[in-house]
Amino acid sequence: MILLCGIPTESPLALVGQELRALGHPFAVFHQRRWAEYGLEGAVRDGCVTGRLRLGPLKVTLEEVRGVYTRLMDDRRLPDVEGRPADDPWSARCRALHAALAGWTEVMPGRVVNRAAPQGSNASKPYQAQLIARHGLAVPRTLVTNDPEAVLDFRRRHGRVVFKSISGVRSIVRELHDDDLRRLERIRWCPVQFQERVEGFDVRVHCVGGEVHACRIVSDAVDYRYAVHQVGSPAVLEPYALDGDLASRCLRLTDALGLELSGIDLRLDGDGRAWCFEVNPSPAFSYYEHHTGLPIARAIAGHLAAA
Amino acid sequence: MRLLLHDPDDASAAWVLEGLRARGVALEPVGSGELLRARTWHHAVGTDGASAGIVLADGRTIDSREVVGTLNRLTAVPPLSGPVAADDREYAAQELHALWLSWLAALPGPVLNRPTPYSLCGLWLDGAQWALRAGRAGLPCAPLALGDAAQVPYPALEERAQAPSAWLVVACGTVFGTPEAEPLATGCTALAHDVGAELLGVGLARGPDGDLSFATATTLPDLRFAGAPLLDLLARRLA
Repeated sequence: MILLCGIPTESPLALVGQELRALGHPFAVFHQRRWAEYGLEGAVRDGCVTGRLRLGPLKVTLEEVRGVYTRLMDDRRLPDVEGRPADDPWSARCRALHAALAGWTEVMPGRVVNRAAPQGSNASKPYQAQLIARHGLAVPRTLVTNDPEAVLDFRRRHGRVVFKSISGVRSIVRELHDDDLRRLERIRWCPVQFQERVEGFDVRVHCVGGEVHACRIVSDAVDYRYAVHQVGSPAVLEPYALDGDLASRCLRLTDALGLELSGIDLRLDGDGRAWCFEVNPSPAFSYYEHHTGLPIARAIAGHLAAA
Repeated sequence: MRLLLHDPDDASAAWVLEGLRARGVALEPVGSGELLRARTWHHAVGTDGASAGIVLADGRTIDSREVVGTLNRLTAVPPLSGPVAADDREYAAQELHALWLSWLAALPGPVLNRPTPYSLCGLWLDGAQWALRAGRAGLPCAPLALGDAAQVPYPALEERAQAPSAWLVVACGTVFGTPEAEPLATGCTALAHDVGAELLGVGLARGPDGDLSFATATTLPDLRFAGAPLLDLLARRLA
């Protein structure tokens, strides 16, 4: 049995469900909006987890679940919970269920795409960059600082510089322009990550179950996710064949980070050198699949079914 | 330079500072509040490695290239106040946590404990995960309820963890604590190895039959339980 967790209409979850159906593999859905109809009762004993998950009328024995694909949203933001105080009984029950589910997915012996612990590296970009570099991919020179003078010096040495958040909080990557220097003093209260701008083209690599699915992104935007806003036209995506060595390094990195599925952001410079910006442990791969036809959902479904 | 990083009111940190000073090993104590109020942070990361320089408000400097050992008892970024607008404090705290995590990960020499993304002083697990890992490490562990229901067949680990009967401290593969827990030493060492913690506190509960079993664990143990032998070991490890 495979368990899909999240909102079933959300594209990545919907696509994986579609592929599991095509494979004829049984699966159940933890539909987050229906949490109030659900329950989880189990036990940890002698290093094993047993119990059952109640999904409305459906009862799933925890030991039967061999694979989980989780795209859970923050349960505090669910429409029937948001705005209620944390100690409100409704909110507390929702939190308890999600905590139990999260606890179980961390310890269940099957395949979880992805467990929470290895996703943590994405909470700090410079921390993750250290891990990336340790596993054989180049990372751009980066300075995290609250010192405006140091930023000016970094810019003098590297020319074009971009800035972004340090943590996993989503932020739009922007280039540091002269106009920005007027507000540089503000970083004294909260450090910011600055990075040399690497020229080249972007490649997004999805690794799952030993498969590598890469696409090239053609755009002049600093952050192609916001290409329409930044340069007035959307990014163009096309399948891209990674060379064998780079593909192997991406697979090894995914494995080293403890991830079953990764979305790796690379930029290939004029010399063909690959620079890695980030590894996304919960990639919204559907955007790339829709634009390129890469069978990423099929690979995820196959990986889960093989667990 | 040997660092002693600590949260406010950390009695264990103060105890280690004095104990190691008496053994001729000087630690530089740096509190989380001092890191928060640091004058400047410069943290560089690249393909060839990472380094950091910090100038604290009192003028002391911490150059990561000069650090040879660290006792790390930081748990989290303290609450922000002052010039950061109230609406921005949650974001700023996440940014600072991300910076501190990266900085700690880049420190050379022994770091007891190395940070993990969810906790600055090592792995921080919930009751079910500790119980599962303890069981796999060979430690006896009473069944633990995992669920959201009020009626559960076993008492939650948290209840047993409220007041463990005894504590052991695993430090660099050596177990310190009560002699009657000696039979559990191998399991405790295996658990510390499994979670990658050079320092681990293991709380033990006494069952109705008088036997001790696993109740809880922490990567931020009260080191005073281990007494002078632990100070001797830390002095050697950080020297």
